[in-house]
Order: sequence, then C-alpha cells, then structure tokens
Amino acid sequence: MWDTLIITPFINFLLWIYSLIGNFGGAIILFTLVTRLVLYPLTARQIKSSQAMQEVTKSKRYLEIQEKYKNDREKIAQEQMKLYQELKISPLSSCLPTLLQLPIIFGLYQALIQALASAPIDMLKLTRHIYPALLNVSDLLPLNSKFLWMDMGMPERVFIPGLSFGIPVLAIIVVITTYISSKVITPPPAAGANDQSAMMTNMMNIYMPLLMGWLAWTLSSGLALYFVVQNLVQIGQYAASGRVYWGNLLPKPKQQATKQTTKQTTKQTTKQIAKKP
Amino acid sequence: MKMLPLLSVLLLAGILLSACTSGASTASSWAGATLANDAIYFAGTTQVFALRPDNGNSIWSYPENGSASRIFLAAPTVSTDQVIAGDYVGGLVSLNAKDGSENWTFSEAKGKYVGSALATDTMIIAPNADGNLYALDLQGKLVWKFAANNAFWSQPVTDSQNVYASSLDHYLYAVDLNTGEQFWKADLGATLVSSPLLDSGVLYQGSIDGVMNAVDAATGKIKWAQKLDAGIWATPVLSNGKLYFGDQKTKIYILDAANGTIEQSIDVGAAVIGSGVLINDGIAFGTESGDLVMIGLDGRKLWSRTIGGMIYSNLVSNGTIVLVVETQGDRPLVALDTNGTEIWYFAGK
Repeated sequence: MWDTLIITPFINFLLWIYSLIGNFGGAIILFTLVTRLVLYPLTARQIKSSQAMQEVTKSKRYLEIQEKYKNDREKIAQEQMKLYQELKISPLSSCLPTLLQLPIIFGLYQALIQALASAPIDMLKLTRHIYPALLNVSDLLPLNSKFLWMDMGMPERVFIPGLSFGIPVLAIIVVITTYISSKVITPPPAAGANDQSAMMTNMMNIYMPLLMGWLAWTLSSGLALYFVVQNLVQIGQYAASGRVYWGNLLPKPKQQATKQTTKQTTKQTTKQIAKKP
Repeated sequence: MKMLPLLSVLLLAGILLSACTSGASTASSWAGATLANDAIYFAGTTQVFALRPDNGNSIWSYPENGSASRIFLAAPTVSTDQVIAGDYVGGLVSLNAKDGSENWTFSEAKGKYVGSALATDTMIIAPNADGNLYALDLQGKLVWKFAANNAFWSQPVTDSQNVYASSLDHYLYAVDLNTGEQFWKADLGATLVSSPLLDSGVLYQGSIDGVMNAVDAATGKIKWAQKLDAGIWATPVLSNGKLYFGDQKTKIYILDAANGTIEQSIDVGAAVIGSGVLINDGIAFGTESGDLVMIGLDGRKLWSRTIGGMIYSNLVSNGTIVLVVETQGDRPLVALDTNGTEIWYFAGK
C-alpha cells in the first residue's frame, strides 16, 4: 500500500525527471524543488499558524497567565487552552500541516534511496517499481549518478594531495545550511518565554545540524544533496512569507537580553495586576 | 535531564533515517559460495568461511572477527592454493586456502566487488563496480586495468586468449587477456548484470530488459537475440544444445542455442534470479519464494523443495551435493543431496 501509493509514484517521478535531463544530481534538485512547491500550501499554513501562536505568546493575557500561575503548571495549561479557544486558535493547527507532510517527506526520502540503486537487490527492486508505460528500463539504466565531482550513490569526499583522508565538503554544507535554516526560521524568544523552552530550541539548533551532517557524511551524496536543497528551499519559503529572522545569525549577549526583557515584563505584569481591583 | 527528551527524539530520528538506508550496505546483494579443493568457500557477509562439504563444519574464517563495515558477498574464487575474495569497500584479498591466512591485498579499486574474480593459470581478473577490470598476477601485482563506462557486477569468462566481461553500461567487452587491450565491444541494448556463458565460440548473455543474446566471440557480432517476458539476471545453463534460465517474473525458459527459438516456458510461480545447476538428468533452480525447483531436460517439473528465505544466488553443485544460499533467511547456506534432501545447514557463525 505504502509502496504503491507513495514510493512507486515518487520513484517514477524522480526517474522521469532524470530521463528528461540525463543527470541524477540535477534530477534530485528539480525533484526536491517541485515537491516542495506542491507542498507549499501546507507549509504556508504551518507558517501562518506558528505566527499566530507566536503572537499569542507575546500578548498581555498570556504573560499574565504565566506570571499568575507560575507555580501551577496544570492551571497554566487550562488557562492557555481557554485563551486559545477565545481567540479561536488551535495549537494543533501548526502541527497538523507538518504531520500531513511527514509521510510525503518519508516517501521522498525512501524514493531517493531506492532510485540510487547501487547494488543488485536495490536494482532488482527498482526495476519492479518502474512503470513500463512511462519509462523504459533499457534506456534508463544504468543511471548516470555523477554530479559535479560527486557520485550520487556514494558518500562524498574531496581528496587533497598530501592529506591521507577525504574532506566531506557536502556534509559540511549540510551542517551549515541546516544550522542557518533552523536558526533563521526560529522566531526570537518571546518576552517572558521560559528559559527551558529557549534552551531546548538552542540545543535543537545545535544537535539537528550535527545529526544531519552525520547522516550526510555516512550516506550517499544524493541524499546529502537532497538535504541541502531542502534547507535552501525552506529558507526561501519562509522568506517568501516574511518569516525569516536573519538577526538570529548574529551573535548577541542572549542571556542578558532575555533577563532584561523578563525583568521588564515582570514589572509591567505586576503593575497591571496591582491596578486590578 | 531536561535535555533527555530532546536527545531521545534526535537519536530516534537518526536511527530511523539510518535504518532506511543501512540496508544498502548490508543486504544490498546476495551472498555467494564456491565448491573447490574439497572445501566450500562461502562469502557470508562479514566473513569468508571455508567449510567441510560433508558436514558444513567451519575450517577457518576470515577475518577472525567480522565487521559490518567490511562486507563480502561475491562468491570467492579459488586459484590453486589461494582463495580470492572481494569486499564492498574496494578490497581484494588473497587467502591461503588451507588456513585462511592473508597472502596479499589489493586496494586500488574504488567500488564494490559484486561479481567474483576470474582466475587463470597466471592471472586474476577482478571486476569492480567502479567500472574497471583489474588484472593481477598471482602475487597481487597489477598487470593491467580496463575501464568501461559503468560498473562490472559479474564474473568475466575467458577462452585463454580474451577476457569477456559484461557491464552495466549495456556492453559486452572482449579484452586481450595479456594486455587488457579492447578487442571488440557489443552493444546489447540494456544493462548486463550476469556473466556470459561461453561455449564453442559463442557467448550467451541475458539483459535486464529480457533479451537473451548470442554473440560471436570472434567478432562481437550478434548472431541472434530473443525477447522474453522479463529481465534476465542469470547466466544460462547449456545442455544438449539447449539454454535453460529463468526471468525476474515467474518463468524458466528453454531456448534452442542455435537460433534462440523458445522451446518451452515453464511457470514456477516466482522470480528466478540466480543461475540453475545441472544435476543428473535435470536442472535445479532457486526461486525468490525460497523454493528449489528441479526441471527435467525435457522441461517437466520433477520436484520442488521449500528451503526458505529468498534464493537469488547461483546454485552450486559438485555432482554430490547442491549448495543453496538463502537471502534474508534464517539459514545462510543449505546443503542438499541431488534428490533435494537436506544434509546440513550453516548458520553463519
């Protein structure tokens, strides 16, 4: 079922692009661009929903709830839900598009791996995925997996005379683009946001690029190329929605700034509470 | 402690993504076995084993402790007192046939050794997925190399003058055995994944678009080509002027070797990827569904036995026992007598 509905159509689409341009690296780039474009309505909805959620966390009501029930997590959750209901915002609405995209992203990923058949069992499986009405096995195979200096079916390394090991240039690019992508699409922490969630985000921004870099280092360069294009397209899509925070890339004394903001917010909130009868 | 959930999620994502691809390095091909010098040599994924044919007991294994980063799948080649085994990271090793000690290694290749090496009296010809044929002397020194446009996945054959090797680039090549110079090349129109069969100056070569070709070994001219229903992954077996081989859907074909006429097609219900083997008055084939099927030379189905796993590898026999390699099965190597009765199996350790 999964193969029939997701993997096989994706493989055929990828190979169809390849059959038009004759280059697997180019096919991966076009394939990623087109699929991300098709998924854009979902991405746009996700961006919009996250924006709405982000705005709520900056609102006075939200901050008051945080301050008032800071020692009662359950109460905070109840009050937040009330607030969301009043403002007609569903916290799930920012997750749902991501969840809907997940099977497609997994499908893309698996299609890419299977299309990069570099050994007999993989090729046997690949020949069984191909729609004979759309593609001709004898014209298609073997795939030209060379792209720039890379073999898309092998992990990429650049060997420099004098060095006994290869430099994983593409894996380094994956780490950099994943870091930039995750940094610039993350909104700056809202005033009053708790330290734990800010710390989680920071850790995510460090570990995720390292994880992706490790995958790019160990797996075939075709997948690494897919990661790079995916990251660049993601930045582009967020930029198109005006939700890119380039300032996040600049070094800043974060702790101090956060402390100051928190102090100010606490003062304001205390004043507001004091004014209430 | 606060970071534990985050790290767990990242670790899980890494494992999931790796799991999607790790199969590429471990189970991306089928293992191979060779019967020679009163021993069985089996490329059992992380190690090469020498086994006793009568009971399957291990004589030696190489390396002593196998590692997932070095995979052996191509059937080892025996050349007098040495066993040649290629791995999936471009290493070719010569082992002492008696004790498995290392004689020499050759590590110039940049691709996988999917196909077995060919051994002659004076040379070893190793096909590599980097698109080269490497010709070495028996001490492991490179004599020549020949480059095709794409990978070599199958064992070459020779008539003592030329080496004939088929490549994924659609070409069947004839190369001088001593110098590596190209004699001719024949475009067979599709990817070639199996070894050619050489008999009486004719090369029989199947392709993955389902065409069986007969090529003149002297000139490289195609004598006949027969289009069949599905891709051909195996070398045919020749007996009494007839070719016997399977396809990647469900059929075994019997063709007239003289002109390619289809004499019979037998439906066995599953793909036949590996080559069959001639036993007494019939030919045994392994199927993707894990069955061993015995076909009489007249095309009648004589018997079948369920072995297990998927049978993709070429069957091997010395006339007394038949070796079956299971892919993704519980028993990596199974030995049967010529009536299909199981004698022993080798669990891999």
